[in-house]
Amino acid sequence: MPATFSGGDEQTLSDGYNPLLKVVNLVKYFPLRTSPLWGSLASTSQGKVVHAVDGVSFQLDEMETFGLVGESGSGKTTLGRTILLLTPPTSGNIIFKGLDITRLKGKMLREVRREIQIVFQDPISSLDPRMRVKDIVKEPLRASGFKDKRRSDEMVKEMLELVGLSPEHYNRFPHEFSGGQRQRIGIARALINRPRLIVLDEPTSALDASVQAQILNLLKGLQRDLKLSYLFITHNINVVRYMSNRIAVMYLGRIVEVAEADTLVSNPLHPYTRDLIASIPTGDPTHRLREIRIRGETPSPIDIPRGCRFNPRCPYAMDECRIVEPQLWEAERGHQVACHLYDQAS
Amino acid sequence: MSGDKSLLQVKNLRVIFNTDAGVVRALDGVDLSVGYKEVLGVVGESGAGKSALGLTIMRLIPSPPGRILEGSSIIFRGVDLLKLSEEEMNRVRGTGISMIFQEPMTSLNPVYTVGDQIKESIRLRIARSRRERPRGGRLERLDDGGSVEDELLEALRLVRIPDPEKIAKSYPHELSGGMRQRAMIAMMLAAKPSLLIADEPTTALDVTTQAQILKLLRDLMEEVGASILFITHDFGVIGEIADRVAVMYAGNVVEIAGVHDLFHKPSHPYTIGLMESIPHLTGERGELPTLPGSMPSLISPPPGCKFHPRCPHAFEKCRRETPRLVDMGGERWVACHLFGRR
Repeated sequence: MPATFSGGDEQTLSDGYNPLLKVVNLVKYFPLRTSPLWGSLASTSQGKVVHAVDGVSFQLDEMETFGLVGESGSGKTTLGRTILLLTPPTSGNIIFKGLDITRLKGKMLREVRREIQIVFQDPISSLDPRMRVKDIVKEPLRASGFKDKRRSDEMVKEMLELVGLSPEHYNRFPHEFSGGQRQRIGIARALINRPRLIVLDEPTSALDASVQAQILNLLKGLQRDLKLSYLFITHNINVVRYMSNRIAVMYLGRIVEVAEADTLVSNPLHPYTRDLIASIPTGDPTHRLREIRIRGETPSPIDIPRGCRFNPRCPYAMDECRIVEPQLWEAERGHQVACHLYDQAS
Repeated sequence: MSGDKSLLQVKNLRVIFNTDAGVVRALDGVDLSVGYKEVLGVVGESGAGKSALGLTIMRLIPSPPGRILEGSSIIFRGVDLLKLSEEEMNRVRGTGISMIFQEPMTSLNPVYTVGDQIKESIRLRIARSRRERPRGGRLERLDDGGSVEDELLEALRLVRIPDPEKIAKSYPHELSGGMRQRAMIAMMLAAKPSLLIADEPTTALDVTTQAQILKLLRDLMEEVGASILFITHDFGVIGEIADRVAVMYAGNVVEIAGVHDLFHKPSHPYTIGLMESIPHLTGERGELPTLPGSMPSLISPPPGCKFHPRCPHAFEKCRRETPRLVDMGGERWVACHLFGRR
């Protein structure tokens, strides 16, 4: 089998090598809820589901940054939250350090949660305005059952220092900080439990450019010093290229392409990836955007197009694309794509 | 800047807001101009004053708490907008200057169809040109004999909306983000303004949709011959659309230059630092150059040059004296003591 991982039904769980994280054919559907009030009127939405994540497989190595890019509705945030076990998957498996954590409960679940942390996009809504910085950063320790009070105070101070905040900030409230400083608090909170993997969900999207650079540098430094692995979720391809070893492109709940970061940007294979990258303004007025070949906008994840889900927008769509959903396979070494244009000749 | 050949000329514009925490100096002596058929990009980070600038030109700053200080002027087609009565200003809004915002959903009325809202814009334009009050839904014929309905479809076609008849009958929530922004642009163009103020019009859109809207705006300006004041935080977008660029920092314009000059040779230390800190799609992945700190408070900004605490080149004079925009020749103006005064 040429594919190291596929969007298909085969589950290759045990091949001897254990990456830090392995996601196998993960599916997350949200049923459309009909409210009691409008239920009778909304009969059209009965039984429909949002296909947020629709068969995603990938693996993430120790100390790797795996970038997940996609536009709104691609399912990248839901995927991140499902991996964090914040929401149970509809089907599929999440394997962390060789252990299937998909359906863990109780003490084991708490233990795994300690090792997988998240940094959110909006540092304002993700920090409790009534809590002092020390309590915000300490909260994950408390939640994981750590009781030594003196030691936890020390650890909070260490973490704040690590993210570039001074101990004098210890007793302050979130509103007293700038956006960049708030994001540093969020990072300190994610670090205090000494996690192995951090899901970074648009960590710099709410920040100004000059502050974004500070936070990206900080994240890179922390990764090196603390041997962290990152799942970096964003819509910003410039940022994800800069941060990641490998990048996966998501479209309507599926990964359509995976490659080394520089390869993906310089030699995109999937028609969607190509247009996505061609749409990024470079800032250089001498190279303004050429004609964008992509048509329209991402359709609703409720009514997924038949066959390849990109086919209604694809300039190269063939008959096959309207019938058969393409599977992710290794078209070039270390470069997977799900597109019939690259199907094997056989 | 380019004198009376400008469509819009903003001179020494100062706007303050009285808040519980103190007086916010949102715009602190802004000078800039927009030429005919020109796209002026205004770029800056949050707190730079770029949105306040757009709203002030439209005279939409709520007062109180906002106040435009004495000595400010906004000359549009030779008339100082700050001296107009509210009724006269109303005639300028829409027909003279239109504005589109970041989130079209908040600017469109959810209970009217897109078509009805664009038709209202057309009727208002006609009523204003006749110096009459708009007469609700009665006006259906135009002076040239065409119908409002025809002009509506024409406006939707102009912004490349496929199936305009169907979209005209849709409500805003039934459209995608990109379609909504197109409808918004159609509504603005229906008023036939000579200046469009676009405040982050593509920031809420996906990158593929953004590319389509930027291309559309660029083509439309060619076709209808209007000017744009394009406000954004994104240097990438500026490079796509602007002819000239004004860089704002903490309520001031710190640099103005042609878009090519600015991209290839930024002059102000803030412009340089900001551009260097943006990760690129290709090239090295070493540590990003950063500007230390963040945008200062506009209530108690640093004395002298407001950028000096973050500036790698700051010297004694920068802490004392506020630099003014100096003509560097070749359409470039810079407010920085490094470039001296002639």
